[in-house]
Formats: sequence, C-alpha cells, structure tokens
Amino acid sequence: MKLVNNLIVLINFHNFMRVLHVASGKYSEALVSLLHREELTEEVKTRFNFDWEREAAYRTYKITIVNDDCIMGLMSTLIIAKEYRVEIRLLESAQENVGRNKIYDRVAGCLIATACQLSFENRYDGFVSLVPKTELISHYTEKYHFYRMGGHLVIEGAVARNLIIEYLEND
Amino acid sequence: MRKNKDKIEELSIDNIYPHGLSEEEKAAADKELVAYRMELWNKMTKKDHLRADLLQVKYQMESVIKSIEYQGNLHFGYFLSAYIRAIQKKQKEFAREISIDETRLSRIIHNKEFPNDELFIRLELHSNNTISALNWFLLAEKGRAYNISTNKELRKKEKKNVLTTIAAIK
Repeated sequence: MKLVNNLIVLINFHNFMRVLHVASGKYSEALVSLLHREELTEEVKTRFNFDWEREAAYRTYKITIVNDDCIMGLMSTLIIAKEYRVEIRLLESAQENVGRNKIYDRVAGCLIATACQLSFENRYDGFVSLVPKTELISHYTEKYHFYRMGGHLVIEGAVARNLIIEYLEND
Repeated sequence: MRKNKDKIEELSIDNIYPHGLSEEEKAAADKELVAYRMELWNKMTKKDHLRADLLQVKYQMESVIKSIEYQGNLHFGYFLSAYIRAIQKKQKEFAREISIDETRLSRIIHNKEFPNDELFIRLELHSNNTISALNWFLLAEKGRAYNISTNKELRKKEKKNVLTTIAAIK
C-alpha cells in the first residue's frame, strides 16, 4: 500500500497530459492507460456508440482524468511489427466530449499522440497509420498532419514527435 | 444537406470510425501501404536509425515512469545501458565523456549503486536535452521507492537502532 501511494505521487508529478475543460477554459491532468475488459460496464457502453467488446482482441487504451475513473475516450490499436507500424483501428470520444457542446477537448489528440508514442517505443520512428472515412480525410490532415498513402493516412518522424509534444508534454 | 455536413464535421473532430472497407479492399490498402512503408524504412540513414534507437529509449523510459507497477528489471541501470547502446558507445568511452569513473558507471548499470543528482544533469547535457534530468531522476526514484518499500534485510538491520516505538494505532 505504501509503495502504491509513493508511485501515484510520482505519476501525478510527471503526468504532463492535459485535456481542456471547455466551459471553464482550464486544463485538467489526464492519464492514458490500458483498458481492462471489466471496465466496459453498462454505464460506459451507454456513453459510447462503437461496440468496444468487439475490440477485445486488440490493445485498447482509455483516457481518464487523474484521480477519476470516468472514461473520456477509447482507442484500439494494432502493432504490426513486420511493417514497423502501429495502426489505429478505432478511436471514440465519449458522447459528452463530442461536438460543439463537448465537456472536454483534446481527448482524441491525446489518444493519437499516445499511438505515436507507442510507435516510438517499438522503434518504428513514430509511424502510425489509420484507414479513414473518405469524408474525414481533410480533417485528419489539417488537425493532426497525417498525410495520404493510398487508402491509409499516415504520420511519422518529426511530425509524430510534434504531436507528442503538443498533446503529451505541456511544458 | 447542411445538417449532414455539420454532422460529419462534428463527428470528425473527435473520432476515428470503422473504415467500412470489405476484407479485399482493406487487404489491398494494406498491401499498398506496406510497399510504401518498406521503401521509407529502407531509405533510413545510419543517423535516422540512431535517432530511432534514442527515441525508443526516451519513450520506453517515460512509459516505465508513468506505469503504476514497478518492473524490477527495468531499473535506472537498464535504461542507462540502453542509452549507451543507442548512441553506440563503449562503456569506457561513455564514462570518459561524462567524467565518471568506469567502475562506478558499471555499478550503477548493474543496480549496485544509486545515481546522484550530478549524474542526472550530466545525462541530460550529454543527450543534448533529448532525455531530461527529471526523467532520469524519476526513474531512479521509482526504483528507490520500490527498494525502500520492500527491503526486509534493511528493516531487520535497522530494528536494533530503534530503541522504542509508539503504541500501535488501531
């Protein structure tokens, strides 16, 4: 118990990830961690539209406010080692964090930046890919600087690092 | 129509949706991507690979610092050794570059000696700020926290120095 307390202090001290509380304009510290299947409760399912049970075979991350269990967003990923890349399969912000009346902003950015970090950790030089809906390509290219590679959108190298700096490091 | 456009814009801001491609379409898209990815990978220079190695150490370190569990094998010395390998130096050469005794460096790498603040700063300077002194410090402290919480031997040894204790709080 003592050890866990010590480590939480360290984590809080170091956690630079921030989401924006839109109404107040203030930032809140957030944490991205792996989702455990039992955390997909009925209450959580009512706040998300995608069927996250179907992503159980994939490494799925959740983003929460520090010291709060409420899940603000989810992202499933696939590490494809022989192609040196991480693929984002799905990403969804909770209903209350979508659109003009959202409570928290930067949820998706923090999750995409986490995928970039995962790519660097695996020595893939930040290479992350996703298959977008055609109508949404311009949004991902403008906001997150993905570029088009056939049917995929990709990000890598310095651009991926900049995304990490923008969303995961705030100093 | 406007309503539909608004809907797309609204949804696009915060989600990445299921792609909706058939298996064949997805396989074709993946095949195209693999060709591009391998071309990009094969074009990487020695300098690019060095950068990838260094960033791997940096981000793995950050991941360990942020994780709640302590993995005993991923200690300060492990990452210091990984850093030295990433920059392709011999221990002796690296010890000289940061003005530290080679034997002491070896003891730190093998988790036999705790690093001090001066070393954290020297490592930050050596990496040209790529890996901060704060991260080296947090990594070392995490190991220290684990050690202080689990060291039975030290507790046994120090017991004789505590002559009296307060009553147990129930």
